[in-house]
Amino acid sequence: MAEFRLKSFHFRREREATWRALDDLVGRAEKRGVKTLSSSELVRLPSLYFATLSSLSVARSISLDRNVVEYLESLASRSFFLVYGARTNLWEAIIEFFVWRLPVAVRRLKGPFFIALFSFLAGGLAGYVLTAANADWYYSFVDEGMASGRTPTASTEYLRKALFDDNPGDATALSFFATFLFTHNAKIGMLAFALGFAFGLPTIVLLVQTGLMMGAFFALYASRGLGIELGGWLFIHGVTELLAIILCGAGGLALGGALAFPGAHSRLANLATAGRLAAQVVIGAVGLLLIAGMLEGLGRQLITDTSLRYVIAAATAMAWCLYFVFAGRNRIHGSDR
Amino acid sequence: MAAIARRNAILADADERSQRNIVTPEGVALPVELAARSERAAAFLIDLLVITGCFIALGLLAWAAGLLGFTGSRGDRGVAMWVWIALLLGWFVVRSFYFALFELRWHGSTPGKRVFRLRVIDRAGGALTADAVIARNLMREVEVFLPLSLIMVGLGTDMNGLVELAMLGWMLILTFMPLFNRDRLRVGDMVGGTWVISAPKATLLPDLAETGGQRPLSQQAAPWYTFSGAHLDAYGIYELQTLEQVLRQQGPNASSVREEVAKRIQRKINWMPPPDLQIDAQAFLQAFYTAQRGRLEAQVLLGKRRKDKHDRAASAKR
Repeated sequence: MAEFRLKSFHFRREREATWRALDDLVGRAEKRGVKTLSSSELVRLPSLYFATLSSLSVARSISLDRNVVEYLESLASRSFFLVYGARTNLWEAIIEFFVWRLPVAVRRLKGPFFIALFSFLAGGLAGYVLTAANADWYYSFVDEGMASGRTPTASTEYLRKALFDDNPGDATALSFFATFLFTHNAKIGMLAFALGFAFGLPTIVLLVQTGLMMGAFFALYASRGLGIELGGWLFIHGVTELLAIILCGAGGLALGGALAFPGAHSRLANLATAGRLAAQVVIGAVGLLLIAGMLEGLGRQLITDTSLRYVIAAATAMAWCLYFVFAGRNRIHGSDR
Repeated sequence: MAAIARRNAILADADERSQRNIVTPEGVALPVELAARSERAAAFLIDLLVITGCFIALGLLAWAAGLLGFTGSRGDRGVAMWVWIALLLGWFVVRSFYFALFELRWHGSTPGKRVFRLRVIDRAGGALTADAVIARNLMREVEVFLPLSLIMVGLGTDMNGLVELAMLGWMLILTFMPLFNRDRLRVGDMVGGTWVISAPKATLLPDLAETGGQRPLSQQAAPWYTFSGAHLDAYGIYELQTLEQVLRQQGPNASSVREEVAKRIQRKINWMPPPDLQIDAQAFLQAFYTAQRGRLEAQVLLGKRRKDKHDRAASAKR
C-alpha cells in the first residue's frame, strides 16, 4: 500500500497519542483553570509540551500534511502560553508587590517624580502668591463646585466651621463620602497617568492646576488667620493623597519622557518599559489613595484637634519617606520585570 | 494563469502581514496571527455592553437599597449607606479594572475577547505580566473614557468649534491608533508592550493517506490508480495542500468540486484511466494525493522543497 511508504504517516501514528493527551490537558486548563488539573497531570504537562514542540519541528521538516503542521502550531502555542504564562499565587504576588516591587519602581522613576513634585509645588506657590495679592484670582483657580461656599466673600466663621465640623452626622454617611472621594481621586490619578502619553504635557497641566488650587485655598485661609488650622485639616490625609497624585503624575511623565527622549532604544520599546514601570507606580498610588480616603473620611472628622492632626500628618509623611526610600533596597538587582 | 498566480501572491502577502513569530525559550518559532481590527472592536463592544449591564444592575440595587433604607427606621438607613458604599466600590472596580482583572485571570482574555478567541500576549514572547496588563488597560482612560465623557458633556452644552476640532484630532490619533500601524497596536498595547492575537483552535483531522487506505472502495480500486514519476512531477507543495483542502472540504457542492478537480488533474498530468475502470473522483483524488505527498516528501527529505508547480528550479536542481 502506498500510504505505508509515507514517513509522515508513520510519524503521525507514533506521536498522535502524545498530542491528544496534551490537547486534552490544555483544553481543560483553558476552560476551567489550571487548578482543575491533578498534580500528576501538572507534572506531565511540561514533558508533553516539549514532546509536542519537537514533533512540530520534525513535522515542519518532513511532513507536507498542512493540517498536521497547523494543528501542532496551534497546540504548541496554546500550551506555550499555559506553561510559561503560569503566575505565582495571587496573594503572594500582592505581598511581593508592596514589600519591594512598588518602592523599587518608585525609585526608578525618581526623575519624573521630582519633576511632578516641582510642578505641583510651583503651582502651589504661584496660587498662593497671586491669591494673596489679589483675592479675585481665587475664582480662577478654584471652581465653584470644589469651593462649595468657601470663597473670599464667606465669613471667617463659616470658613472655620468647615474645618472643625464637630457635628459629623452619622459615621456611615462619612464612610460613604470617603468612598466617593477615593474613587474620584483614583480616577483622576489614573487619568493623570494616561494623559502622559501626550508627551507629558497634560499631566504637568493637571499637576500645576492642583497646586494652584491648593495655593489659593491657603491664601484665602491665611488671610483670615486660619492658615495653621487649614494645614491640619488638609495634611492629615493630604500628605498621602498628594503623594499619590504626584506618583501618578510621575508615571505619566515617564510615559511622555519615553516618547519624547527615546535614547538608545526605539520609542516603542521605551514606551513598553516605562509603561510597565509606571503601571506599578499607579497601582501603588491607588493603594495610597485608599488609605488617604480612610484618613480623610474617618480620621479627619473624628480628630478635630489641630496639633493632633499635624502629628498624624507628620507620622504619615515619615512613614512614606522611609517606605519609598528604603524598602526593598536589597532586591534592587532582581527588579527587572 | 498569471491572474491566479498574482492572486495567490496577494493572499500569501496578506497572510504574512498579519503573521508574527514568537520564539519559545526552546528556540522554536511559533507563528501567531494578529487579531483583526474588526474583531477587536466587536470584542470591545461586547465588553462595553457587559460593563453597562453591571452599571445598570448596580444602579438598580442602589435604588432598591435607598428605597428600603430611607422609608424605614433609622437603623435601616445605616444599612442602606453601607450597601451604597459597597456598590460604589463595586462600580469603581468594574469601571477601572474590568479589563485588567479578566485579562489577569483568564490568560489575557476578557468575555468579549473570548467570543472571538482573541488573547493578549507579550510582544517579546515572555509571560504576560500583571504590570503589562495593568498598563495597557489604564490607557483606556484616554483612549475611550475621556473622549466618551467629553462627548456626553458636549451633547449638553454647546461647545465651540475649536474644542470640537481638538477633540476630533484627539480621537483620531489616540482612539483609532490601531488603524495607523502595522502591528495594530492601540495606545495601551504600546505602553504595555503587548500584542492582541487571534488564536483559533485547530483540530486534528484524520490523515488523508489513512482514510484513503481504509475506504473499501479505494482499497479495491487503488491498484488501478497508479501514477508514474512523470505524472507526479506536474505539481508542487502549494498544489498538494490545495488538494488537501479540497479533499477535506465538506458541504453540498463538495463532491461536484471534487469531480471537477479530478478531471482537471487528469487532463493536466495526461493520465489515462485503464480501460473499463469506473472512475470515482473521491478515490482517484485520494490515491493521487497519497502518491503526490509521498513523492514530494521524499524530495523534501533530500532537501528539495518544490514550492509550487512554477518552481522548476527545485526539480531541476541537482
